[in-house]
Amino acid sequence: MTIKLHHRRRVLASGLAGMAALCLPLNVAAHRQRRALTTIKWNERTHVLEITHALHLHDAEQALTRLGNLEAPDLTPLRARAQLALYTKKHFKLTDMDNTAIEATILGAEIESGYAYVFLEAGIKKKPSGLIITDTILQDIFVDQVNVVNIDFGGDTKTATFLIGDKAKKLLA
Amino acid sequence: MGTIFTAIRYGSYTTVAATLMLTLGNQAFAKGPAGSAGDAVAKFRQLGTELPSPNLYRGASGAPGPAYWQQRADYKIDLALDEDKKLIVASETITYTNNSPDTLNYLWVQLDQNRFKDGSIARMSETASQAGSRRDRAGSGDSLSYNAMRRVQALADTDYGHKILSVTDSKGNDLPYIINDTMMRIDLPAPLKTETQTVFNIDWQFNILDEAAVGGRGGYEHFSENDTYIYFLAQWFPRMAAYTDYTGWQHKQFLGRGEFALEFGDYEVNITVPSDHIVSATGLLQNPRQVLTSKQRKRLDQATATKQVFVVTPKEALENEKSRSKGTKTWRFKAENVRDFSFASSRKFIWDAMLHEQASETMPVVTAMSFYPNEAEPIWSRYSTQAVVHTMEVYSRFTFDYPYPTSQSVNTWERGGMEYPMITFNGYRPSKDEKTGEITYSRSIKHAMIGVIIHEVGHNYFPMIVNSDERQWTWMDEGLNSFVEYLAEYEWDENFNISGGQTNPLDIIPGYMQSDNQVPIMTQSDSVLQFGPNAYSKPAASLIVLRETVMGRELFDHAFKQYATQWKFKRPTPSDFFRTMEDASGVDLDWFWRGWYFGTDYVDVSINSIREYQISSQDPDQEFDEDRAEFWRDHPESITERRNREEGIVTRANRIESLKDFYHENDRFTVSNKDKNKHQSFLDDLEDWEKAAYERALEDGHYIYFVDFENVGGLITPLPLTIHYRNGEAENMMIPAEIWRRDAKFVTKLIIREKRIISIDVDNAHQTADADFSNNSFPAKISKSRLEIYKGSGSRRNLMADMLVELKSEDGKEGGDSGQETDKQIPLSASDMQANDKETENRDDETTKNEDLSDEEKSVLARLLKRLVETE
Repeated sequence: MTIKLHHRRRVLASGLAGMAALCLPLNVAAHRQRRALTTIKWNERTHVLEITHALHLHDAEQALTRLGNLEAPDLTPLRARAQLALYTKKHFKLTDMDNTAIEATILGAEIESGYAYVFLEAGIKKKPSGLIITDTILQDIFVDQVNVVNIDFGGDTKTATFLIGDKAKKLLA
Repeated sequence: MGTIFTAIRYGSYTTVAATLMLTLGNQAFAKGPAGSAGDAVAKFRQLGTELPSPNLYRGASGAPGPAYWQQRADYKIDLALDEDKKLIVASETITYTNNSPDTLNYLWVQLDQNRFKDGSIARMSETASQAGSRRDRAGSGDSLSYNAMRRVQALADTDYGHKILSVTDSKGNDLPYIINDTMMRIDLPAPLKTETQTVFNIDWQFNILDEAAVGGRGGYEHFSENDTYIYFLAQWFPRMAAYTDYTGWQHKQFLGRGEFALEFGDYEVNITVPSDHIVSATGLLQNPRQVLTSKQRKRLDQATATKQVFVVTPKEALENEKSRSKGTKTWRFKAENVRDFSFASSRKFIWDAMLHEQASETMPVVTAMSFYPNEAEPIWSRYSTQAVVHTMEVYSRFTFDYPYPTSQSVNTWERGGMEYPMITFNGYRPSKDEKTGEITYSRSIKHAMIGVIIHEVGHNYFPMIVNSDERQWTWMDEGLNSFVEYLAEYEWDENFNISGGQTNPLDIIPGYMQSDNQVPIMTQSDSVLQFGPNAYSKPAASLIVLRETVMGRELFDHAFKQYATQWKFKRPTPSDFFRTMEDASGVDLDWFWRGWYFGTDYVDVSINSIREYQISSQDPDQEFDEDRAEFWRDHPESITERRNREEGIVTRANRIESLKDFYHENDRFTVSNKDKNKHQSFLDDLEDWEKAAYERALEDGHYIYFVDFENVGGLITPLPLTIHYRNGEAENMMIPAEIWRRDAKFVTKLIIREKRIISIDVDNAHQTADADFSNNSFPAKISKSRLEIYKGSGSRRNLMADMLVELKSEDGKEGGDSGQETDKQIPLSASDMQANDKETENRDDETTKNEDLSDEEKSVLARLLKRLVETE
């Protein structure tokens, strides 16, 4: 079993002066857990799967700046929010129970009071019996990132939790 | 017996002879035995065995009992910080007072630094992800981050953990001891009886943690650009474990998450550091003449409640950090009645101060101070000390006057925060633009910083003074503190967050509360997965509901203050909090604690139907015409008949007189004598009191409504209703949670009004943490999710769509995302129907700076419009 080093050059090259402590490990008194919540809702009326990612604004700003997607840790400008939308789309994959990819289109992104929201939707013919989800949002920067996905297909909410290194998870409606 | 109204009119049909028993209450019985899944009243059972029995130490009212006791631990500590070796060498004398009724044969002492020792339980039980690396169960793709590698190396290079050099009694004789991971047991030569003291000494040293590499709430931060350091020490000295009435010794091992359980006492600490360091610590400086210049002392004296002064200016700090002194100085601190002692030391510190005045006899003035390096400017000098003062102002209103002489905020790391008596370590710094060198900070950094300072300073109240057991119940300090923190943030500025209005925490928490992998709040913290929501935001949200919806502010504020003041400098447990809130307010809260703290249900109320009735007079002369009109409303004439009529066709019966008879002239709605007699006998059959009630009801002419509610989410909640009348008026009505006490799933409420109701909403103000507003109105209103609202915002969507196209064309790599990123939409404006939803309008304005469009955005918009015009 080979051990590959993850090439995160930007982490070591501390280009941002003053930010001496970069990736803080889990054991710091992180008085706020790094957590993102994604809600996937089946809209019966419009036959659309609605996906909303809710991230902590500060975490999103920090992560995308370190990745080089943002010039400054500020998601107020439209361009920055577009980058955020592209990023989350890249790190969130959905397939149906037959492993057919479900393509989502980005509706947009907005920020409100300490949270950043990204909206996507996927038009599919009928309500899926379940989803296979891969969620690595922000986990390429924060090793302690916990991603929670709630799916709401009209019955009880089902939840999957993604820690770093987790593979795809199945959720039945 | 008992039928008062024998006939009622319902919207579209009449029941002339129907009798209806109006039940003014619910007569649903528990549908299953107690404790079973069908037990409809389980949610209202009084908390019994879930809470420990009241006793002489903790009473049934939630107050400390007549025999309440707690131990005491006083410390005299001398320590030296060796900068070159990154080492602390120290010795302490602990005076331990046994106030318990028990005789103690041994004492337990906490060695928190041992968490990082080779072979510690914390380290050995770490999973790969906790250690900062990825794991891939399939085997390929395992990877190690640089961060994890650095951590492994740091732990290998340095021996961390407390190195105990000696443990002796007051005469200097060795005491036998044994170390179990992060806990040390000292075996006493003679048992320590009740109401007696013992004194012992410990000498130790330990290597200061490279906090960025290893973690740990305390250590040093290294600024590689100019090879300077900040030292911030926490959990650095061996200290007494707590001995309690509810768990004996609290010595569950320190694994990193569950925090600390400690005893109150007085501290005298002498800190020897390089002579050019500035030290911030718990307590009051006893020897300012020896360690401060006269200029610094003078400046400190000039601080007032309105004037913040620099004791060490940014320029002086910048100069100071350029060199290293050779000598040392000893800073002497004294702190009374504290449960811990921490300090920070650096030659990089800027130091400012301001006074906080309060109407307290024992502590009328508190000195608020901040310590931070130049890397933290300009936001720290502007906001930190003000945030400290603001916290004390707000928190004291809800609890008690700040009892300590000082409150300090120290910038020791990049992110997060940690709390100690009178001193807090807080993060967040601005960033420097790589290209221009300009220092910038976003609004979110500013608010994160102010928020963390408020939160950490707030911890002085919970748990530094209201001393709950953090190892056992994280939520008792984090949840209560987060709650008061929100209140303080609401009072900081109206634009505290980017939107121009504070996000309602009750709109955010349902996302967590609906997930199916939750554990109840009353779960020990080391085992909790979704830690943040479980210990911080869910309890905080529950208290907002308790304050604004269940109890009301007056009752809540009084009870909360009662809890804080009666447990000030004492150690409360969850049942003490639960009981006090009930006892002081008179509000039954067992259902509330049971639902929010012991369960994992969420709030989702549905209003399923409203049925309207009126009292029918039963008088055929009055009723039959109306009945006929109703009948024809429901049974419109057939299209054939209508067109015949319109064409002018006259029926045979109307043309030929001899065909007309009684039935031709009269329909079944014609009043006959038989009908009139029936009415009279109905009236005659009524008892006098029934007749009186009936005639009164007819005269009143009220409307009667049966409203069905369903508890979809399971968590019991009061129902704040907004009743809309046909005449445009609205009325608010709060139905208490007790309505669910016989049936936790379905209830029907009877509402009688003089005016006609057109619709009813549940929880317009979003004050119950309801998860789904699509079922909160009858007739149903379209309730939009955040995504739907965004979707409806035409111009915003199109701007985003254009931007995505632009990004894609600039950066061809983004392909792989096939085809169009998003669908462009023709701009639409909201219809009348949508305009009814006040939420839609407000939210649209609140999100994402809707200030003037940037030039870029304007040009995008212009292009879009041009394109639309061209395609016409």
